[in-house]
Amino acid sequence: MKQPLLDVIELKKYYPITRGVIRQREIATIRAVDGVTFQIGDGETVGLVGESGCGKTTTGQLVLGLERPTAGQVSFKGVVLSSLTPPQLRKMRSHFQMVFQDPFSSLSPRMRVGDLIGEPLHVHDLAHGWERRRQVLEVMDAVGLVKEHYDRYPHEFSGGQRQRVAIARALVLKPRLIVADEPVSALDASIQSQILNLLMDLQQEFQLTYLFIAHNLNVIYHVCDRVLVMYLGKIVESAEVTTLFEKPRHPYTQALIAAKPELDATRRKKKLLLKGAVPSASAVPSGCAFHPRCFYHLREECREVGPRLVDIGDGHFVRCYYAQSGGTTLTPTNIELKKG
Amino acid sequence: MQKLLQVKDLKTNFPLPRAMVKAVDGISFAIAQGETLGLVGESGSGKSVTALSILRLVPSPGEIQSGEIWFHDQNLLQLSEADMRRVRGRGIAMIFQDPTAYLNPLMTVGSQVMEIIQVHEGLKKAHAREKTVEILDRVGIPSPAIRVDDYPHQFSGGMRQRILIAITVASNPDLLIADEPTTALDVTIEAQILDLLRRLQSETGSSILLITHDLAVIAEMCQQVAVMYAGRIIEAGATEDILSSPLHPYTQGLIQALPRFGQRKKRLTVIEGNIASASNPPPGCRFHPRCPIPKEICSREPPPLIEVDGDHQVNCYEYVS
Repeated sequence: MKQPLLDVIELKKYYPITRGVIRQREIATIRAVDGVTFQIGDGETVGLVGESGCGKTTTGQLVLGLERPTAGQVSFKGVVLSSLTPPQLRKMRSHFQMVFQDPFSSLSPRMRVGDLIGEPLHVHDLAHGWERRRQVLEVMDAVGLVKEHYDRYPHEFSGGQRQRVAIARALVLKPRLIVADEPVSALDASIQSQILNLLMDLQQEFQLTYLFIAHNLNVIYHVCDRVLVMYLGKIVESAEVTTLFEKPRHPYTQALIAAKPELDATRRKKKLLLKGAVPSASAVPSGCAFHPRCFYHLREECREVGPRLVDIGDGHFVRCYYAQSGGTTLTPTNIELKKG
Repeated sequence: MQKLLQVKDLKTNFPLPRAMVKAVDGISFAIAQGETLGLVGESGSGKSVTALSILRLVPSPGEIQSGEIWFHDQNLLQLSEADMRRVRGRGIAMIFQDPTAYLNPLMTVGSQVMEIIQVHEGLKKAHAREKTVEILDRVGIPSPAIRVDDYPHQFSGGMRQRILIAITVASNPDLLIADEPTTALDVTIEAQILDLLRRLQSETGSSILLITHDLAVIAEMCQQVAVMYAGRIIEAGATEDILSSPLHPYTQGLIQALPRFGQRKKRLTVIEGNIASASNPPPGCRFHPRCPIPKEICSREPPPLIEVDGDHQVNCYEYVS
């Protein structure tokens, strides 16, 4: 098996909730990410979907080493990130970059666009002076910004152009992996398509690998090869994108897809209205975390034990007793990386 | 069909020190009894200002410059402030994108709903409380008799939107204006809220003006739709017609720009350029700098509104015969 670019094994991130000023007691734990395992192959685009609070963003931050995991490990090209010293990690970080949702708050208003884009080169001590300027202009050209934009400030730009600046800033270090956290959800529809096209073009041009975090299922469907669906810190289903959308097996995925408002009347399905809202990550239900909202007939083990993520064939993993008939259990050693 | 609301040539301006922002620049539309009209457009197109103009709640320095807003048999723009206050709530109520901003954090949700019932129906407190519990139940708050005494922060985003809807339901309005009611919500919660709005509408027969940027929400909720661009309505008609055969190049672009099934990984259609600025809009047709099929006249004269079969209207020279 070819080595994956990114290998995430049993990743966990717990945040303690404490009470008391002098003697702090831990009264509860938020399980933001609770045992997430997945791999991303070189050049693949993997989507991460789920509703607010499911741990998508935290997973992205753990992957980039911006947060320290409580348990589990992330390896990039076979190197385990937590084994690196801070300077080594910093060096490694130039290979993976992040694009954030809000291009209004992720860019410093007091820096010129050219300096913003060139800042990573400065931080990593890779290029200076005219050489830095040359590299910045090159990447500006790649994202559809022109020379004249170099000395302008972010406030002079529209949302779509700012997102181009943010993408240029991520791209300037020539990374292998880009974690894009809701990169188009703050943008209007006519601008959204420009940025999605840009991201797809850049992937071709620079052989990029994407971890694409989004809640918009249409966007995920359009750009991704494979999708991971998260619910309360766990992956509940993962499959190749067409399989996941055509034959979703986990009730949560089924509800998500059915709930999506549909432009095309012929594709409109009967809504599976889920009861209630996502429970708090500090009080995760026992057994299968989804069981209080599940619309299937619950078994005893749904309430008490909770299923594992199991391959039901062709790299389609589901964390649900109903969907699992004759599958193999997923352990870190028997995941087959499926290349699209 | 009886028109409940009729807006005629409405203009709302925001005079700023160095510019006059024509946020709404001469729009006309009507909503029939029991109908849902969708107002769709991108940020800055004037959707929300239109809604606030109908309620005469345009924030300063904005002001309604001209036009008529007929609701039942009265022109709202000619009512006294006292009469207008009677229209708000009982006649026309509004819900917003961010319910948290419109709920008082220091009052229990019950008292916020009860306040409305007492004002509008003059009920005694005990009776009003009973009615409040009933309304909370109708909008789908679980165990309403207990939750009536909870504060807004004890509810989730979707539940807060339900409470905001409960407050509007309490006054039983003829017209509900919903400004991006589900934009801040997750998709499964969005489906619940849209379902609730549909159900309440079929129970009460009220009309809805639904403002959104999401064409898919329009497709599922509205019989009629009006598309706004830079302060003007550029196309209007039955939702089915507009979604299946859009006429205006902007509407066409907007629909084609959306990712769809069966088109995976293909390049998406793009509307070139950026949204026209409302403070310095291009002359003539405001869409002409981004238009794929501009004519010479488009940059000089604003296009007329053209009726194309029945009630499908479009604001574009392409259809001038």
